[in-house]
Amino acid sequence: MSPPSRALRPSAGSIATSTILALILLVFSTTSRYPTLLAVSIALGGVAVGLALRELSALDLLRPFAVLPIVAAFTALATSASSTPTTDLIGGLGGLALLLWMAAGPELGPRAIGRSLSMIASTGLVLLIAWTSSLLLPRSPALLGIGGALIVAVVITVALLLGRPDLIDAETPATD
Amino acid sequence: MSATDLSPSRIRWSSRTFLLLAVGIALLLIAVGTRTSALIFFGLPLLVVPFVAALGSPRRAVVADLTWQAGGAGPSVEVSGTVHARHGGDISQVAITFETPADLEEAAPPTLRYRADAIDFALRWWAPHPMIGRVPPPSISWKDPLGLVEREVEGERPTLIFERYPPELHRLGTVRLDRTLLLPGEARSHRVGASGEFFGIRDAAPDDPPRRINWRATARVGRRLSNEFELDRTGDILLLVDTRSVLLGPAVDDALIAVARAAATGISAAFLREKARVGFATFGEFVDAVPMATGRGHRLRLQAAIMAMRRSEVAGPSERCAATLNRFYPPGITTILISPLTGEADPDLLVYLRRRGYPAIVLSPSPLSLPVPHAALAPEAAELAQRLGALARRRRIARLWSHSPVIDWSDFWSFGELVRVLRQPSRRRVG
Repeated sequence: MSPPSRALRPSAGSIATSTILALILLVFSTTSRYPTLLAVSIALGGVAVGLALRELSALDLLRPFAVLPIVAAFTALATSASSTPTTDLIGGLGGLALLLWMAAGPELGPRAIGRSLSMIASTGLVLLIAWTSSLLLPRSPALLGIGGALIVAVVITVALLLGRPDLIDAETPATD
Repeated sequence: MSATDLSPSRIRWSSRTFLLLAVGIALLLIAVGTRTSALIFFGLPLLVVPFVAALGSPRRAVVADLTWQAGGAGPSVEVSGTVHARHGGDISQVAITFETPADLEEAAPPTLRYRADAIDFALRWWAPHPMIGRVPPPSISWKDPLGLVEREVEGERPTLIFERYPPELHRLGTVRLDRTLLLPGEARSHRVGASGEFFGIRDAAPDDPPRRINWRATARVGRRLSNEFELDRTGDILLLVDTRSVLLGPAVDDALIAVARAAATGISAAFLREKARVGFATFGEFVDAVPMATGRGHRLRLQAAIMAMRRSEVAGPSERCAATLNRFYPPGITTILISPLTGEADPDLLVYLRRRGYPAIVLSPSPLSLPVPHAALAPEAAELAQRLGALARRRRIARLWSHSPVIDWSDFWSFGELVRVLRQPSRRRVG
């Protein structure tokens, strides 16, 4: 007697979010200086490899790293594209689409996409503020470096603070 | 629960968070290095979203209690249960992570059904052989939808024990067992107390009340003895488990012990249901014995002893086993020896048991039926080794039949042969 076998197939949510991500990458590939065929191959190849790593049950150990091929594809396209407000906006949308794609992972359950929308919307708001601010600032590599360093510093500070919730939430609820 | 107890547990960042942060920081560095602003905007959501998730976690502790039970039949183990939210945050954000117990295989992925204040779950596992197992409580935690941040959910987490036996076990209780005298000093007596008819004397348990102690017998023997009262007892049985190592490796040892554990628990439970007195002993280097008794308390005592049973690395001499049994059990008792029969000293053990008055029925779980992969052998060689092993085992068992009835327990999901032997008192005693 042997246990019944089981197979993993991409869910509808996974296919839908992969399509959105692929479309954004395809749009971004049009801004790249690579030949069109190569740029499209990089875009679609990144999404396909990421999807395969995530959905194939035999690759359990590699599943957490399924985002890496997509990030690599985006990086390859971005470094060959000129920096304009439009490419920045598409880049930001690509980041949001990547989060949505992650929410469709098989390990998170079928309702994760719907529940993650509020989180992704909040992140999108931060992104929108950053993008509109960038429109008003002069486009300089020095400012990029300063901005990047500031973001990293803020990230580390927030991480340290959130690791100690007693420092943030010291007030006793009045209703108890 | 006080207000201070309601403070949420500490935030736990998942490995996915660190991966996202690492990717985000790498993108920033590449962006600065290559002067590509699009990468900053691509990496920004990856850096921001963990903290958005952390800020969205519940401000008060989520408390949820677990209730679950095991069901199923034969090799199928089906566990169902509910996680009820006692108070606190949204139960729909609570994630449950199950751990498949050792020796079981997952037959189907867990199914979860979210309700307003509870989560129903169902698990399906597959047991390769009879066993008793402990299912560790699942990890229940609040998780954000992206699986970046989690907080532990407090509440009751009972441990679940599942038992899987062959179906013929239910027919064992109908077997008529021989009655034996327990200890010197036992005598038929008038009714004592209100609990029933006097039946026998046994070693006193620590929680026996003073009025149950047989003080005269205690004075004669020199240790505390208790009276036993039962109205409709059918007889006595001793389960003896050979825990000596089979020299086939720790994996086979553990699997055989798991099978023996399930058999001992199932057989003892079947006879205890019929008010029989059941004794249990293991023999490795020394004998560990639980004296004969009956009742619900004794069932728990037996269960604890059976669960504590471990494979002994050192094999004690067979005569020691037989001699020690004399201290705990009266000769002539129906004895079931559960032994894989792989040692050279097995015929000696049967002979010594017989001489001391314990003619045993041997229930021998076959190591050949265990799903142990022959990693170093080609499939043809493994099949040949299996056939040679089966022939050697058949020859060994045929020789042992001159001492005792031996049941080659190769189909772990059937007790049919054991039931047949036990139902024939003449076959119980003569090999």
